[in-house]
Amino acid sequence: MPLPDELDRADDVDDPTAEDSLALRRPDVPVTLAELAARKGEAIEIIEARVQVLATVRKAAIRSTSPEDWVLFKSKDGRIVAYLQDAGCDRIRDLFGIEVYNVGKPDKVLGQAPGEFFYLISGDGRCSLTRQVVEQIEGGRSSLDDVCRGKSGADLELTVRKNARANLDGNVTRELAGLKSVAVDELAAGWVGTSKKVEHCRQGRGFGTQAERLGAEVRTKDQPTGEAPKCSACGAAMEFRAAGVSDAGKAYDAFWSCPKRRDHPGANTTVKDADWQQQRGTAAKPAPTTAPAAASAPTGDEIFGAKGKPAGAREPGQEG
Amino acid sequence: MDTHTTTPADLAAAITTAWGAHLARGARQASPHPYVYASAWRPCVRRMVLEMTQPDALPVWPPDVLARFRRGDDRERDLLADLARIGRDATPPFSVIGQQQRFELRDHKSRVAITGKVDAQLKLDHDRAAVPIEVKAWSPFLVDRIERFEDLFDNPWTRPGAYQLLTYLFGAAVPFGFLLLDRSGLPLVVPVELHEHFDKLEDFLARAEQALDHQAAGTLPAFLENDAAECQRCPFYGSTCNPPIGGAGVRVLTDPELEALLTRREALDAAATEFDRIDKDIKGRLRGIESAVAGPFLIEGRWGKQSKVDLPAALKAQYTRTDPKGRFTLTVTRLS
Repeated sequence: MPLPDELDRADDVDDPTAEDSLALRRPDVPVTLAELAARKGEAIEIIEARVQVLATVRKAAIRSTSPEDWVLFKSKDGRIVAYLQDAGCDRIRDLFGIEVYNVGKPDKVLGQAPGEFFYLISGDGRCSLTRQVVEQIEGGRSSLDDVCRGKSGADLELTVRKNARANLDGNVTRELAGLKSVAVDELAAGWVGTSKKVEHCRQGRGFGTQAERLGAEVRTKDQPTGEAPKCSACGAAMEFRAAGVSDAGKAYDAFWSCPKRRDHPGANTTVKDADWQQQRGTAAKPAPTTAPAAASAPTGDEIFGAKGKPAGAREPGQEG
Repeated sequence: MDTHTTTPADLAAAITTAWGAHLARGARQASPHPYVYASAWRPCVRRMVLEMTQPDALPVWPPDVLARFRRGDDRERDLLADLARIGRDATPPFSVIGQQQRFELRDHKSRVAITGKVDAQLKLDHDRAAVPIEVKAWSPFLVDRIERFEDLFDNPWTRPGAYQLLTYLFGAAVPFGFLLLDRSGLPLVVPVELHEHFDKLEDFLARAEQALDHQAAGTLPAFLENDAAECQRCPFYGSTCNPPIGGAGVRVLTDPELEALLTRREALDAAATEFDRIDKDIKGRLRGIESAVAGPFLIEGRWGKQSKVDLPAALKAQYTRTDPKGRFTLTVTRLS
């Protein structure tokens, strides 16, 4: 006959296998194929539960980010994917239980341009949710990055080093969370019910010129028909760029640009459309410009009011 | 400079640039020091040691921050001048003495552990010792959240200021002092009593002593653990100090009964919201009606006693205690 104490203990754990199967639904509990196979039909339920937990955490992670945390990239076939930036990684790290450890000392590497240097830093990472581990991941930043503009000396050194560490943290997080390249549909689905929109994300490579990415109108319809000029450096057919306004607010005329211009820096890789049309012997079609027309200066009457009538004077009945 | 070809916008930008350069010229580079500044309580002792031993590794303050420091100094001077005038006609009268007096606190080994400069002291009458007063011109967003001295400990940016004043009280051996907070209306005078915060003072002294020990031994304390947010706020993070960072991760609950409850809760959510709205509307319309019928419904109401305690604000404040974990808000969102 069992003692009362033993009976109590038996009540505490009425079905140990049921508790095990519940625990196995957690992705952070290791399980082997053999263990799953031994559970027969229940194995499917366990796998589905683990997948659902991961899917929910992934969605929660996307939901916790802002459109400003993502940069969109478009491939040549039109597919758009989103890349989570370092600042966004800070927001999702806790959800996945990602740890960055074994962080080394930042290494300085000199660049080729004057004043150019890089800081590289490496470290390991692990995710408590998936139990994945990554080793010797590197992060790095350059002294020529935008955020370093206007800085020099020790201030510049510290900024580049700090940014390199932030990049390491971001790289580990992106790798372990699987958020390096996310389809925009998934992003939009994660933000359903919030005011966040994919359209508010920053646009990166594949979305046209820098000015176009920052909102200038893409005007491919203005592209003239006929032969495109060839790049003098590589011989590739140039791409048409419609007239527009640069991010500095300066209007520019339509021009042609080599798609591989980054491969041969220093060479002349652009041709003005007007020059090209003239060269072809056809009447150059003046490309319409999107530059805003200069606002005409207000007249003296508009500022000071017409004689005997002050500016902004209201007629009776126009109050309020 | 050819002012004829320069636009007003260019001139404005040039003035701003020159202003920033002027402030940057006046900025002082911190030098290593063998003690902890009174305003430098940190949750991380490693940071305290680095601030003592490698202050030159800190990034330079941008002109905008230097301008805020300058504004703070100006406001402190103005507020103390006003306070001195106000004291003559106040009841009880007081005088402002000992401005910017150096302060030192020694540790158990008689080393100078914490130093600072007391903004001023209030001399209330001839019999009592002067009490320290610390002036702060913080961001209005921070000051708006402060009503009592305890509120300073809730925010990482105001916390060091609270520890600073506690060390001044302890150093001057006085039981109370004041924090004078600049704000857009009347300045806020916050009283602080030392005996209520002895634990915090001991914590600061212990940290300062540890920092001094490490400095003497030429070592660094262990990294701060489980506080990634604090690490990422630290100016040494990424440049001089590269600690491991990470979060605990979400808790995964696999109880099928809980999942069933959540599913049922979701199904009832819209109906419950509608019920609450209609119930509130009906009760508002029928308040005071003790007996009525409406179509097939019998309506019965009755008055009951209700007690209210109207306490004076001061008494209410005296007995109000805020539990940082007293309220718990739960939101449930279906994601998949």
